[in-house]
Amino acid sequence: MSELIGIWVGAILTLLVFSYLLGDTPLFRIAQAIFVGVAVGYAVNVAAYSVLWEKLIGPLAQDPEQFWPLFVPLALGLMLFFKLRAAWSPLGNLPIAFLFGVGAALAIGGALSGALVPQLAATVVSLSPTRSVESAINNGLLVIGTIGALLSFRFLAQPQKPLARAADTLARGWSYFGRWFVLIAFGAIFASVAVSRVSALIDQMYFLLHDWLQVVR
Amino acid sequence: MCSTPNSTDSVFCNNCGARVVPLLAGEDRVPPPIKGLSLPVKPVTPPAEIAPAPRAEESQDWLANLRAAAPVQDTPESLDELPDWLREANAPADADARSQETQSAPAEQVPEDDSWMRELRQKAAVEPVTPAVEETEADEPSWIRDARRAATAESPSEPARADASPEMDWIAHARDVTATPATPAGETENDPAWLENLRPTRAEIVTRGEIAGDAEGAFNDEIPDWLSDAERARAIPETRDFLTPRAGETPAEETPEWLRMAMPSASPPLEPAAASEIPAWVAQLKPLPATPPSAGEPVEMSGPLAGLRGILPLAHALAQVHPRVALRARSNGATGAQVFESILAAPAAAELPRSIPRRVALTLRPVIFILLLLAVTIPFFLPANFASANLRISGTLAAEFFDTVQTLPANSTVLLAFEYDASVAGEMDLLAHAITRQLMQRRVKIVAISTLEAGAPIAQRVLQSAAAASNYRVGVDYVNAGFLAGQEAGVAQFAASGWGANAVDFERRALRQLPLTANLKSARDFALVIEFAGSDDALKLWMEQAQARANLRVAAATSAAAEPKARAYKDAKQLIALVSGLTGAAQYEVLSNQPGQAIVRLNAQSAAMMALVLIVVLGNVAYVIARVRGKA
Repeated sequence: MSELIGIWVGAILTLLVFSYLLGDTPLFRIAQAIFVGVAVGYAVNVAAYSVLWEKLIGPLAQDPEQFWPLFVPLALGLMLFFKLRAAWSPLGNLPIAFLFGVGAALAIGGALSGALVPQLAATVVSLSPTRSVESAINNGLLVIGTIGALLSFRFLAQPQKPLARAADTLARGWSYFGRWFVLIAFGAIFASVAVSRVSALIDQMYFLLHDWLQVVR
Repeated sequence: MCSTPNSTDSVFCNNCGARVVPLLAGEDRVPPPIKGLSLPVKPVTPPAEIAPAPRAEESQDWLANLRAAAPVQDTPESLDELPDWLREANAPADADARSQETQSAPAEQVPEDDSWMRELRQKAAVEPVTPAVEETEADEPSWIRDARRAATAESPSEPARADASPEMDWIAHARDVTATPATPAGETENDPAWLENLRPTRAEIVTRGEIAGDAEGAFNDEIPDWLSDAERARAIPETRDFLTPRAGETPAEETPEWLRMAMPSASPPLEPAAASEIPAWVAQLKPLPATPPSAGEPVEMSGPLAGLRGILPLAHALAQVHPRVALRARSNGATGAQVFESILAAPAAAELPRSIPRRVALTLRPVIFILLLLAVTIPFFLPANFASANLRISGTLAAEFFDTVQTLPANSTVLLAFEYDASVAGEMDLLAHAITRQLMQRRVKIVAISTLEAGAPIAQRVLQSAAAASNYRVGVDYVNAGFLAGQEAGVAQFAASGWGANAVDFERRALRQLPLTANLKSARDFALVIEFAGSDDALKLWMEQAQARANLRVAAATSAAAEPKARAYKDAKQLIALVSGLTGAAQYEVLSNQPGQAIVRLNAQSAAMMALVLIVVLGNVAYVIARVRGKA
């Protein structure tokens, strides 16, 4: 029975969302408000119960001597309430600064060690066709495209010296090809997003036809 | 010599041209001129011999002789420093006062003093004396004392104070004389002629605006102009600048020429200029006369202004009824208004070409919706599956992913990160179900986790669905560890040191008490980490915070939208395997011999893609045709 109710509720909400095809209707707004409210309510419930109670307050209530280090995050969390009043707001800057400092350090360190350095090293490839002509072409395109994409974001005035002007002309020509690489990459990303959204549409249509209407096997 | 005061560095008098500095012997010796310079050279004056100061006896003899010979016509040397008008007007009295100062003797010791002078001195001795003031005034110059007396005489409440000092000057004598209005005629007749001349008539007092009948006013009338100016300057101390001499400062006669020129001159009092002489712009600057507060203005009831009326007149002004004033347009404003009206009255310019008529746009949008809906729906009713027949399997990323899972040893532990929510569940659920079933076929133990609040129930649903078919036990073969809080910090901490001591799973069981997770200390204990990433942000989170820090073996199953970003990690060999989208799920179902919903939906996706391509092509053709017609 609960499964049947769930199917009907899901089908009705799906139709309410589809009503957006006719415009920004109140039906769509109702469905939107329901989704946002459910999502936020569930997130608050998880944060309050799964995090605050089970990992902070519960252990402190059971055995404070063993879990005494948890008093530090508890104090920092309580200090966030000082931001509610303007006169006490500076006291709330300490946990905010702690959060921002730790977050920035982790993000910068992770971006360097997890994305920038490994992916720059991956562009150092062999252009020799001895192993495979296909691989050599692929690596050549990788190098040309990477350098061209970087040069497409180069904004410099045209130099006056002949040698520098020749280098600038080469860079401009290369950046022209690099800009096409960037456009193709954006097109691929857009197509991937379109495919993903079409997959979501297919999933909902299959739900309506298979689970709700049961006209499809 | 004309006795004109000259500056100290002047050699010749500025008025008469007479030599001021005495010519000394040897001065005519001109020093040799400096070659190359044509500027006038000031002759170098050798140190002059200091003339011996006359002895006191000689000075007294000289003064006594002068007094005996002609006491009236005698002019002391100090008078040379006074201006001519002052010396001429007060020579007799000044001579008398100076003789007293020089001799410093009491009046009784003056043998040749006249009787009238004795009477005057006796009158002065009767006046009240203020010793402190007298001592102070004795050190001051005479002109400062005069100014002070004049200022004191202006105050009606303060009685006129005479200076009883034996060094009383001519002004004190004159005030003593004029301060006695009821002087008998006999005594007046005994006064000398020059003293009678000093006494102003009553008509003069009235004419000059002084207080009628007041002796002090008469005294003020006799004050020279420069002293009157000093009085005015003293009466207005705020407007007095630094050049005005104060009490105790250097008098004007002792100042150099350049400084006297800079000093404010004793000009007559300013009189209001005639209206015709005042420029219009100056007349506009004249402040309006302050309007006395009327009875209708509010009275302040509280605060420091309590009791005052009309101090804060804003509220009263706002409450008043303001009559409507008809504004007159200026000539240039009227001209501008006419130009603006002519612009408005002119026929409108050619209308801008509208790219797409609204009616056409309204009709095209439902057509696109209907076309896409048919493309998605119709394949479900077709008996044949065209897409699966042409599905390429070997050499694909899905095959590589499948081989990676197949190489996992039995009873090894794999971490599944469910990093997607309901928005991409349509394609991600298919991938998650297919991979989880393959893992359970391989008897690989599974631990699930999620950094999204909505990820934990999705993991629970996928695991329970797959475990029911594979006879997997909770806590022994698989565990849903639930929500991992902290985002970057949480993932980094988990990669380094695993869960905390008080961590619980999705069903509130302590992880350290479960057989599967009791021996897991960190993320390195997992044979493989498979991330189900619905977005590239979730993939980046695990790649940057877990894979790079703990050097984990990570494989990713992503949505189609996150595939371009995941390919970069795959090409950089940070991901050991990658599968994405509905196509990857269908390939995986075929590879694992588990035909499911992915293959069924693949037809609909293919049809939808064809419909989208058709719409894009038709749209571009229509755009080109419209552009060609527009140019033609």
